[in-house]
Amino acid sequence: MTAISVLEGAVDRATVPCIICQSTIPLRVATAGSLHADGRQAFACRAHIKERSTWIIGWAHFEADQEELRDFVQLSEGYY
Amino acid sequence: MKRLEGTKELYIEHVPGLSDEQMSLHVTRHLPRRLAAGNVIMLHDRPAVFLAVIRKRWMHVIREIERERASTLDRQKRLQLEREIAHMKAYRFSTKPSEVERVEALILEPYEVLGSGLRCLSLYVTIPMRDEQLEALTLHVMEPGLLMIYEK
Repeated sequence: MTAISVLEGAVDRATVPCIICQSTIPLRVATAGSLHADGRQAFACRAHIKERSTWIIGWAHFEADQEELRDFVQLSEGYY
Repeated sequence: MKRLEGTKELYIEHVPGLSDEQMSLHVTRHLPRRLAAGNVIMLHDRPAVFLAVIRKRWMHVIREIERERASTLDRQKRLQLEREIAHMKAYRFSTKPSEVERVEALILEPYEVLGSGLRCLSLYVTIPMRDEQLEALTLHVMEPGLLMIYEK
C-alpha cells in the first residue's frame, strides 16, 4: 500500500447525495463540485461529467439556488 | 473519490486513463464547479502550453453554455445559464505565482507549489507525481478541499 492510499483509508463506505440526479451514491463514484450555501461540500455522480448538457444545467441550477439561499439568509439577518 | 482520513475535510479523486485531449476537456468541464467554491491551482510541466489549451477549451465550454441558453424557453433556466456564462467570463488565469492575489486560477510547475506558502481549495495534478509529493501537496489544499489526480 502506498503512502497516499494509506492516507485515504483502505475502506470508505460514505455515501453522498448527487445534486444533479438526487440519488444517494457512494463517495467513490462521486466528484466534489461547488459548495452549498452553508459551506458544505456538494457532490455529483462522476458519470454526469460525460453528459455535457446534464452537467452544465445541473450545476448551473444548483449554484443559482445556493446563491439565492445565501442572499435570503443575508437579507433575513439584516432584517432581524 | 475518497475522503482523507483525519480531521481535515479533503477529498482525493483519481481520474485514470484519459488522453491529453480528454484530460483537458475533463479539467475544463470540472473547473467552473471548483472555481465557484474558491481558488484553484493546476500543476503541469509546461504551464504556458496548458494555459493556452485550457483557454481554448474554456471558450468552447462558454459557447456550449450559450447554445444551451439559446435552446431553452424556460426563463429561469436562461437566467441560470446567463449567470454561469458571466462567472466563466470573469475568472482569471495566470502562470505566475506572484499573481495569486489577482487571479482565481494558477497553472504552475510542481516545484513552484511544493514548499511554498501557496494555498488553494482545489489542486489539479495533470502530470505524474510520486506518492510522497502528492502527500506533500495535501498541505497546500484548504477545506473543504479537492486533490484531483489525473493518471495516464
